[in-house]
Amino acid sequence: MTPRSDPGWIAPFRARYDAWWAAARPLVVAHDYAAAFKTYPWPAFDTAPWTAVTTPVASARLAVVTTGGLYRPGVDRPFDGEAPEGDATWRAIPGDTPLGSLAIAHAHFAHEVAAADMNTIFPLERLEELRRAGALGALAPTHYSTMGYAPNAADVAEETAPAIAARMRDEGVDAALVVPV
Amino acid sequence: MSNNPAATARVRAPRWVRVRFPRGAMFGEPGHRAKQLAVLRDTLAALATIAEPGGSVDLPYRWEAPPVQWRGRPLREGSYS
Repeated sequence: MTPRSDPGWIAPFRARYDAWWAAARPLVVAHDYAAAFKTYPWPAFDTAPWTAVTTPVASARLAVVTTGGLYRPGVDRPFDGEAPEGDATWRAIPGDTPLGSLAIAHAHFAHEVAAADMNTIFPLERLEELRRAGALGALAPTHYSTMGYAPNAADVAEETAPAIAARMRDEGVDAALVVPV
Repeated sequence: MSNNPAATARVRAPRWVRVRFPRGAMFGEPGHRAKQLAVLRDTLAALATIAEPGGSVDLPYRWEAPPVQWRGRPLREGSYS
């Protein structure tokens, strides 16, 4: 078992990514994503990182990470949903934020379902119901959004994910539910 | 969670559940509280039951509304783009 991801993939990935991006950029700018990503240098791994679950779910503290590009208008800077090379930044969303007050800055998925019911990509209201029913120990004070169009996986691995993980660790989070959108 | 099992398996996520909902609707149809709760209950259960690195659970729920349109095309069950 591998407790942590091996970062050895990152430097070779960056070299492959740079070569890919030089060729893919005009296609992305033309919104021909199918052609652009046909040659994307997907990172490949032999093993999965693993941390055993030692806290029963009924007493665990859960944080949610959505990639839906959610932010708090008037509080957070919106993600740059139109940037050709994406936006690998992240937003912290306090758990008491009304879901109806969140906005979406993400140009790469159909918003209609989430706009009608934010629980479809960020299910804090449903998780609170489960917590009240005793199926979950606690929800973390803070949850997180990224914007899923962030093709530079090395930036996500070296900057975005560690920063979010550090904040979760500070808040005593036992498990994270990652919701790719 | 994943609605794109090939991609999730490729990056070796530690543990994951597969849903068959279209992109942008990872917990199913808007307003379908019972289905959202069921997906979450099963997902939390999988946290306890998946015992091997990279293990996954295939959830049985289906998209039961008209297809979501994306860039002029319908997003089908489980479609990613």
